Amino acid sequence: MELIIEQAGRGSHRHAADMQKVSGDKITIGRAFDNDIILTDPHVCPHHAVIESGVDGRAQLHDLNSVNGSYDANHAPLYQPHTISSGDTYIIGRSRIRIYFPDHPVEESIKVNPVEKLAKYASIPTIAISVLVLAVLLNLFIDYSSTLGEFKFGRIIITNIGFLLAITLWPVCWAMFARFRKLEAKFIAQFTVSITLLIIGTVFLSMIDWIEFHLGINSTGLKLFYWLFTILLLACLFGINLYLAGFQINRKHFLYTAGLTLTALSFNYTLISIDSSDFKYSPVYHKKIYPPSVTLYSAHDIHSFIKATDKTFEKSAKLINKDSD
Amino acid sequence: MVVPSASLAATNPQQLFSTYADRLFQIRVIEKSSQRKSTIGSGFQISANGLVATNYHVISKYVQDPDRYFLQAISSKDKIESVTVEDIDVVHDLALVRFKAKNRPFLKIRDTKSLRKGDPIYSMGNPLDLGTAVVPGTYNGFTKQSYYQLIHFTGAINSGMSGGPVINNKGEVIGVNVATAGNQVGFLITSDKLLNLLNKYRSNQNNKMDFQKRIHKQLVANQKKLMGDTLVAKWKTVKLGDASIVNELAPFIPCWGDKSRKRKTKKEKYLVVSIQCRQKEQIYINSGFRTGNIGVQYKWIENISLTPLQFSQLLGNSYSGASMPNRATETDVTEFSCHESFIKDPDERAVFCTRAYRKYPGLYDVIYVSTSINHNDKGLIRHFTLSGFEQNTAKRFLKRFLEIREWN
Repeated sequence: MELIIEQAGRGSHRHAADMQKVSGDKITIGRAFDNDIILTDPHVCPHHAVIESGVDGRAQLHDLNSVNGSYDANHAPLYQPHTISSGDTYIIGRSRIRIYFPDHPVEESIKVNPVEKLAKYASIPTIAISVLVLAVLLNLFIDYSSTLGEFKFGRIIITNIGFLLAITLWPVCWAMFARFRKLEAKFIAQFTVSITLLIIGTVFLSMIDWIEFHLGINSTGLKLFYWLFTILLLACLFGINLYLAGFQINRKHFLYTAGLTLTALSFNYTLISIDSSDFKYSPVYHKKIYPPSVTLYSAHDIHSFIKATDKTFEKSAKLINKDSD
Repeated sequence: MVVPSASLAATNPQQLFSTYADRLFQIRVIEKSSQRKSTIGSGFQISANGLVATNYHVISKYVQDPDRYFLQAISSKDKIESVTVEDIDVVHDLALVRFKAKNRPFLKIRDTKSLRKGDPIYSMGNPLDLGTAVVPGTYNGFTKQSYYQLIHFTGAINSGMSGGPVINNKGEVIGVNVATAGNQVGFLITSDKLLNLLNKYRSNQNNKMDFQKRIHKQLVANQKKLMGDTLVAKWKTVKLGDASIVNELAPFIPCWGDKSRKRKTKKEKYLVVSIQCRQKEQIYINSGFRTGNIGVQYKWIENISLTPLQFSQLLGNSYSGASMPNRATETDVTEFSCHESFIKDPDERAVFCTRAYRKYPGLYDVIYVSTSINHNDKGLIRHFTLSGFEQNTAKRFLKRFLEIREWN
């Protein structure tokens, strides 16, 4: 008789180290060191149970009049020897074991997917540090461009340290989450991926702003583009974070990613709609200006500009009836 | 008609007060549900049959919301009379109200021609609800750089005295208390404006036009006249950096200038020179809504050591801050609608925004702001605001404003 015994521990997650292959006519389970399977749970008796072949040659579990008893997966006490099927779970004292036969089918092997390759690169410390340096440089550049007075280095250094701490919190949370699930933390990979996406997001937002400068603030196409890209970016972030935290790419992974993305989107949307519901006493228009070298425009003469103002009067007049309802 | 009993000259405030106090009233706007006064002001009788003059802003709450308020006039003998509104002049902040009376003494109105700077005049009214008072002061001519021309009165005018008469030593009304700038500087509406209103009122007594319609009509007529006077004037231009800009649109739109300070210890990265022209007066519609105003602003910015990106940020800061100078609430105006575009020669990013008046259709508040976009070393921000103008009037102003070639 050859069996594989898995000590499931608390929770439902497997640990490869806890799988043991044992053979013999009689496999003993208990806390004493002369057992085949040694359980450290204090609720387990020194000689708690034994697995033997039954009359029909099939393996059976016998409880040896233990103090706390043995139970099947449904917590029903085993008063009589219990015939084992491959994959059955038993409770010994307060510990859980699962018993497999050597011919128990295993899941098909998972192909290394592109995300895995990405994760490999993301775990390289040099790449992580490069991404970090890039993020800091970008932040410095944004700071510098918007500082019109004196550029104070002390202040810049402190705000940058604050910035670093803030952006590190996110991957730290995911790494802790993975550790909590008794999996590899993969902090560096989480860090690299999160920061990279942050950089992409920042660049993307300034690009949107730049396009808005040329198209005007009321461009619906641009709004659509903004939301699509935001969804894509958030889905990428959550998808990879979840994957690195040990969720294989499957239906469950997809649902979690979609759930997290939707939650983040709804927060974003709620914030925007709360702001826009207030009555605006000042006009809303695109307010950022760009240097001549990156400003592409076809200018109108003043007469067509003056003519075009008719539409704003028209729009304002229409608002009288619309808002007073 | 009864001849006013006191036509003989009274030369000191005591005599004036004792003679004319019976023609003064406190005007109260009472809120119906609480039966409490919501606004107080002063008024004075100008006809034997109970016509009383006051400020429009004193009774504006009632005019704007007649279902919530009613009006009372309290005589110097504390007799309460209920009054009706007869006519208003929202542009000059005047109103005529009436209570039922026959053969009551009243104050005569006199034009201001005979007055000279330094003449003693006497403001009367009920300051801060403390009781009727007389304030001796001095006539100091008309306010300069002003469109609606008020009398500059040296003497203390306090709230509550609004709508009260200002008389000469013959007891003739030469002005109406309207505002104060503090420190003994007060402003009076000239009696000529009151006479105009009185004449108009008497010539079409049967005109039962709704007050909102009347305000609407007056605002439309006023903006037309105001814009006409602004556009007929030759706009004086001046050099600001490389640009020539408007320095004065009209005498009643005075300009102020400022330049960023040069500090010796620190290196300046840029330099800003600005010119701002703004009409001082606004027309009072209600406590949260003013209108009838023109303002223009220019900013010349020279770059000393900013990077192109920083300089464009600086231009953006000035470009982004456009807002209206007049107060208005959600019930008075709509939100802004804007048109954003690029204008050429010189190349500018420009935005033009309008908001419509809800109760006075056809009138708008207008904002224009533009910034130059084709230089890294210098920039010009141009900005104007118009409050309470019609589409055509505003467009005429825009055209004139844009036609000034400000860049050489």
